[in-house]
Amino acid sequence: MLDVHNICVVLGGTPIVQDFSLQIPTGTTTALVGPSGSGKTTILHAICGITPVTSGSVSYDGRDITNTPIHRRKIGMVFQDSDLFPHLTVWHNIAFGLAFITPRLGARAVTERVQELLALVGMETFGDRRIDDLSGGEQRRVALARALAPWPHLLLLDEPFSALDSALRLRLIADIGDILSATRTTALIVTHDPAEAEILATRTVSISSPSTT
Amino acid sequence: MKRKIIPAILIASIAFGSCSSGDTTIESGGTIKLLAYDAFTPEPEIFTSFTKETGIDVIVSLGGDTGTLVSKALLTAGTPEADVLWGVDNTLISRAIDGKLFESYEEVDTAAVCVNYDKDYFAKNDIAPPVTLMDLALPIYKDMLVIQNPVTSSPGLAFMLATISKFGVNDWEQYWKSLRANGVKIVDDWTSAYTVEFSGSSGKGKYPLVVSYGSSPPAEVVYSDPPVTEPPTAVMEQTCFGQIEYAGILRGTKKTKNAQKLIDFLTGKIFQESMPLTLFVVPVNPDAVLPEVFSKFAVIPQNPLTLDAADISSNRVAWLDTWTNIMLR
Amino acid sequence: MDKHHAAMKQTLATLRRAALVSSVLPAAWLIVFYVFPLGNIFSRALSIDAFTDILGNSGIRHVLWFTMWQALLSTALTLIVAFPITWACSRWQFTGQRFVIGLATAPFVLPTVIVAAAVRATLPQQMSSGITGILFAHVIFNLAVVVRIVSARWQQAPPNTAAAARTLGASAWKTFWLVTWPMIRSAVVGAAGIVFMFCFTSFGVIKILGGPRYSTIEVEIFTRAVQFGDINTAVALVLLQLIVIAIVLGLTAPRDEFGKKIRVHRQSHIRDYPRQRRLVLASVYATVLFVGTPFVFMFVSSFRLHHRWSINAWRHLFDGTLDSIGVDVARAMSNSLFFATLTVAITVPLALCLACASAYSSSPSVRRLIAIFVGAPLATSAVALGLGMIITFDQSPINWRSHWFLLVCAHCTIALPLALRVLAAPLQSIPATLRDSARTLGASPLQTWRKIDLAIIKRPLLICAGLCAAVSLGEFGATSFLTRSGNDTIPTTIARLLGRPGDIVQSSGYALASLFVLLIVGVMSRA
Repeated sequence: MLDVHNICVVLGGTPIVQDFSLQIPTGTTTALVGPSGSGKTTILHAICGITPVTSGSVSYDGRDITNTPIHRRKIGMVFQDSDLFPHLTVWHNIAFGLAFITPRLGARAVTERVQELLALVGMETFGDRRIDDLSGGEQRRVALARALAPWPHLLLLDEPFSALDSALRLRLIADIGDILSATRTTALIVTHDPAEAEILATRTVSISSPSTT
Repeated sequence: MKRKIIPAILIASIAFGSCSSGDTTIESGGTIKLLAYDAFTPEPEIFTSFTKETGIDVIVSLGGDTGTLVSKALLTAGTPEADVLWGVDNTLISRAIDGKLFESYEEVDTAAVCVNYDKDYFAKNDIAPPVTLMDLALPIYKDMLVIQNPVTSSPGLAFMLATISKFGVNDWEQYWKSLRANGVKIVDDWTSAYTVEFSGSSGKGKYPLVVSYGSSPPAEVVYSDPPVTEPPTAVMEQTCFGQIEYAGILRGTKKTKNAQKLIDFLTGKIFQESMPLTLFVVPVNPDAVLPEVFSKFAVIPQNPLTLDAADISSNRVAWLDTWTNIMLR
Repeated sequence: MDKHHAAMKQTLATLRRAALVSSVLPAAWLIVFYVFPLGNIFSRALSIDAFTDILGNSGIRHVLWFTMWQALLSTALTLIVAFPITWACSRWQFTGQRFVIGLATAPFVLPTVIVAAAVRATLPQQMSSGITGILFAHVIFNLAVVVRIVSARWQQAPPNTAAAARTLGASAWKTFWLVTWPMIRSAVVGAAGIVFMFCFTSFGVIKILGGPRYSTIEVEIFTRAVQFGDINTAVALVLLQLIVIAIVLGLTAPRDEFGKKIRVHRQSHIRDYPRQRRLVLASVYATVLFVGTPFVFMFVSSFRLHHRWSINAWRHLFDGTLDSIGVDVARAMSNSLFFATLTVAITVPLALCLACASAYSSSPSVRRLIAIFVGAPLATSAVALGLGMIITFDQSPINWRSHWFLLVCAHCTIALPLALRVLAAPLQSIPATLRDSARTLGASPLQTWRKIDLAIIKRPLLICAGLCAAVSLGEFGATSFLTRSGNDTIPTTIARLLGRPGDIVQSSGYALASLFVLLIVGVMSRA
């Protein structure tokens, strides 16, 4: 279980997040809904460690991870856009996180895992493609597969569909909802669209600006 | 040739066509430009009598060490930046002649480039001063000699030529290898060597042996403070290389007549008699009387080491290359 | 409506025609003062045996080898020293950032002679000439190239990619090597190529800090031509040097694989990241200290005489003490200012003509031609240009070798490519709609140009003038070739002073160099 306790984040002298608390039980998907500028993205960044918290704490399964470096938290993240590695193929993007798992995975295990994820997002034949050659929807799928690959404790999704047109978006939301529940991933998804939250999440948390619960 | 002329006409006619013709002046009075090496330091008011007599003002400009002076003058041979040039020596005169640098030139002075030593140092340490070039390579004189880079300094070049004259084109390289092994110090110019590194002069440096001139001891007396009657330095006569300096009218000057007047003055009695104690060179004018301190302490070798000017001209670059490879690489 | 349309089209056409006509002038300039001198060097070098001779000369082989390894080592050291501040400025924001970057990159606008003088004042006496000083000076001078080029690229790398790598388990270093490095590599390689070029053709630094022992090809060209009078070898060396530079620049030319979308991302402000704060500030201040210390030393040295504090070195600059060694500081200063004024007066209009021709031209090949034509002098060493001019303008009626204006011509040719760069970008970025609306309001093409284009590039024009002045004031390589006695400029005078022994002369050299730094800072901050 993820426990976010009374965190405050101040950026550039402005309080962006104030006394925000949240609990996410293992195996569930929570949606964080709020207008733009309400600090949703900053909350995600604080949870995974990209942005330091000014006060408060983040813990996972009772262990305080407030000061743990990003790469040791085992929290995956799907960003709004342009987070894929442009110099690597789809296959290597997905395999990226598998290189840092201890004990080290064998080559065969890596191949199996990447293939499994390509299948999961329905892109079995895309392994050799370059990122620039993919459509927007395909890029989001790869980003999801890449984040899921190293078996994160928790997956954070930051408005993953905001850049897509509405038809594509609906299909992708359905697909991702299926994937999350099939893999029983603990997830926190940020969105400004309550309908999206409805479909994806078992629970919805609303925040207003500046964020307090 | 053609490729130069086309843009030439274009540009010359548009922009600078009238520029070069402005120099023609009537040859009475006016100014005359004397170009010399950096060490040209005559008596400050020496040209006053010349100006009084002829109405010509002399502007002296200094153009670097002798090598640079001559090479730069050669690059502009035919369209000189001055009217008279002072200071081509016998190591460079062939190049000047081949490059048609001068309209006419004359000998103006002689000098001897010799190794000088600090008398006190050798007396205090109870070591006999070296006598021959070969002595300088002996272990007893290790780390004592400071010389000039022959690429950038004319006494440096003269000293290198002295060794070629002495040991011949086959053995001089070996000599320099042994000098290097004996810890010879190389600096860029005479001033650094004599006034900074040499222990016997004003700089009180670390090296008791230095390449300088046969006329350096009288200079020590003239400039001594407090005054002394005996120079603290002496000359190794067997190491002397004979230097002859020339002055000439630069080809292309429009003031040939005035230039000749200046040359006549430079070789005349007044200037020639002033040279020993200002430029520390030996006059060529037989009428010039040497000052006593000069005739007493300067070494004017009767048979200095020397090389044929044409020989120097054709081998200079190759010799300098060889020397640089042995001593600096 | 149709009428308006025709008028608008006509505006651009008029501008284009005017620009093409006016670009005849700069084109002629470059042909006369760049193409001919260089062509002359080529034709001479190819028609003599000197080219094969130089490779057989062990001394010259030694110079080639030294030139190569010191340039490689200087480049590597520059990259290493530049890394921390480049990282700090690409990834982070902090108060006073612009000022600090300005300080760290300032030496690049100073003449190499001054940078070398500063390093010389810093090092202990026995190290005043040698490889340590050479490398030190090269790093300080070239730091700006790496910081500017690499951080421009690094700021475009989306921060999300690096953050994504971290969330996938990569440590900060792993993230740099696996994600950031591939994105900035081509910029780093390109910067390295330019730094290598500057170090490979180093002249002023070696002249001041090399002593008798160290010589680069550039210095050797000068020594051969001016001290030995051996033009053939000098010419062959120029050709050899140009070949090496062409190969290196060709190999390192930046290829923009991932730079399709140019977007500068917002940096994180350092005060929000207490953990990285110390590292960022340490990187920045250590670099500023590294770059600034020599200049402080130089300034202090100018007030030291015979191991005492004294302002005499400054006084001696103008009281005639230096006359005896043929140095006239007041004359050198008035020469420098005069040459700089002329350089600005000639170069700025030429650059403006070219920039207009490039900006209004509809054909990309014209633009490319202008870019190549003007970029080439950048890659040509100044010494080569000086030598080319001397062996070209040597016969009447273009026998200009002993004229001072040849010096100005060289300065203009060297400044032109830089001046063009400053003007071309803002002119190209003016949207056509702006001119169209001016036309619809009844302005003639000339009025349109004056009210729109000229108004927009007013500031770039000032910067351009400042840059041209700085180039002329600091130029040393070509000046060494073309200067005649009495025409000494400030940099050649500084080199003369520092090349002579004696406390007074040395301190005066540092005083003049310090004065010059103040002068350049004044000129650049005005622009």
